[in-house]
Amino acid sequence: MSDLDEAGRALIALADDAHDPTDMDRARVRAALARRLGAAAGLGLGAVAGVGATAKAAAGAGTVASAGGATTAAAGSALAMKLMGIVAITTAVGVGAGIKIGRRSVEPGAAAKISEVHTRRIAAPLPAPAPPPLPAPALAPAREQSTIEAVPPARPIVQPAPRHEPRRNEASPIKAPPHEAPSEALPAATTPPPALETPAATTAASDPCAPAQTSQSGVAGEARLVTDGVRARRSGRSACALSLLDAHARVFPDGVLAEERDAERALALAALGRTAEARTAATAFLRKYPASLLGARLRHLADASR
Amino acid sequence: MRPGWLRRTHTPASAFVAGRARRRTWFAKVYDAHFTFVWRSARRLGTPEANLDDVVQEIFMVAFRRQDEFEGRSSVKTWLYGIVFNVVRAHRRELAQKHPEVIDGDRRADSDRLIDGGEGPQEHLSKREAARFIDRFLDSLDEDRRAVFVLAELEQLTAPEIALVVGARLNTVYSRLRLARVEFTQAIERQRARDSRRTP
Repeated sequence: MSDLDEAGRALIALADDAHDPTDMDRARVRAALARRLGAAAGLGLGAVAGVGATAKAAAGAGTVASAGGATTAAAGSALAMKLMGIVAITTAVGVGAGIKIGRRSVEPGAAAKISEVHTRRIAAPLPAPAPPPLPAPALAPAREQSTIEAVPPARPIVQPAPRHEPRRNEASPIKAPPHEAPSEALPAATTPPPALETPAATTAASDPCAPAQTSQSGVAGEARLVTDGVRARRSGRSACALSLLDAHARVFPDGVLAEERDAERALALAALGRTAEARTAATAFLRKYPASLLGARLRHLADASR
Repeated sequence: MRPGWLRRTHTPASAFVAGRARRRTWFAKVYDAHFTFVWRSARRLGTPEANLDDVVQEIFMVAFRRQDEFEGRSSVKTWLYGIVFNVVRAHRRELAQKHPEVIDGDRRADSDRLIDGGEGPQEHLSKREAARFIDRFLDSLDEDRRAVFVLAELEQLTAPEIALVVGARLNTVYSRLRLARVEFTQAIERQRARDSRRTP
């Protein structure tokens, strides 16, 4: 039903694919979406849905990781396993949020650690009075220092650095195929019901700003700190997030989730308005993990005020 | 904070869990098949470049939650366009409240200066310049006309489809389209005039 003149139509035709996304855009949004859907689906739907959706996150992360790295299938499945292990544990403490893992390889000990922690958890005796289910992250009572009230909501609406033309060129041949999450994940996911929580885990999780006091070590402890950090940052409690992530850096400087921690730390600093530190952190992150999936968001930070 | 309709889920938890496997497949397919036009339309409808990732994610989040509403009432594409349109509009409203300069800056964009660096006559416009021209022109339109123009001229939807997507009456769609076309033609004329002044 177009009755534009020829010039108009020619102009539109010329610009026809100018707004199309690159393969990078597609893969980046896919990974981020998988992560977010994991968190959203876990909200209010209990452990099963949470893990199911996070399995999706694993699939998404696996897709991109395999596209960028040399260790294709192996990395994907190792990644998924790592995620599953952590997810099974974190869901047990009521954390449905998906964690995106950008790493290509898993330390040899990690898998062993996961299963060890996992077994220990399941073997743990039921606490006598079952604690009430934890509230959703956003509704969690904010028990934090008074400085935090002054912190504005974390999510910047406008990020100043426009990324226009160059993206078209940096496109790598990432083709994101529909990636099915391994179905074995589902039975495993249902294994640790919330009732199996140890009392220590409950206290730690209900006070998200008190890090590291729990003697929990290994992947479970790591996952708790980082996931709580992510949650805190997303709900606008950036100071809290920073203290949790700093705690992670002290206890697990080279932990399995060090990459996620470093990325989140930069974002938390930015949300707190500590721009210079955020930029330094983002730059350091990009140098340390040049191929990271998490780099996309940090690139803005690193470039922001140049 | 997202508006309420973005957060609402129409699916009971049990159905959600039961249909999970099917959903994942369907959703992944929709994502792969339609990501390009969702991204493109979100841009064309006026999402600032810097927020595009977030907005596109939001669109697919809504699509994921609303799958049950779909059920073949329209084509997937039209259905998704509806979501794109609503999410982008909500985003722009939110943005206009918090950062008026971003959106108002759009509207003040001067169509007379559509191509600042343009040197040759229109036939020699590069793809990039053409895209810039379109971008600036779209930014100069008001929101309603912009949507109709994008959907009709750039995305090639029919008027009845557009009426469905934007939730307006058919006549309204036609009239907005007519006005937007007039503005488009004028913008091109002005550009021509400038070009001919520059290259006698």
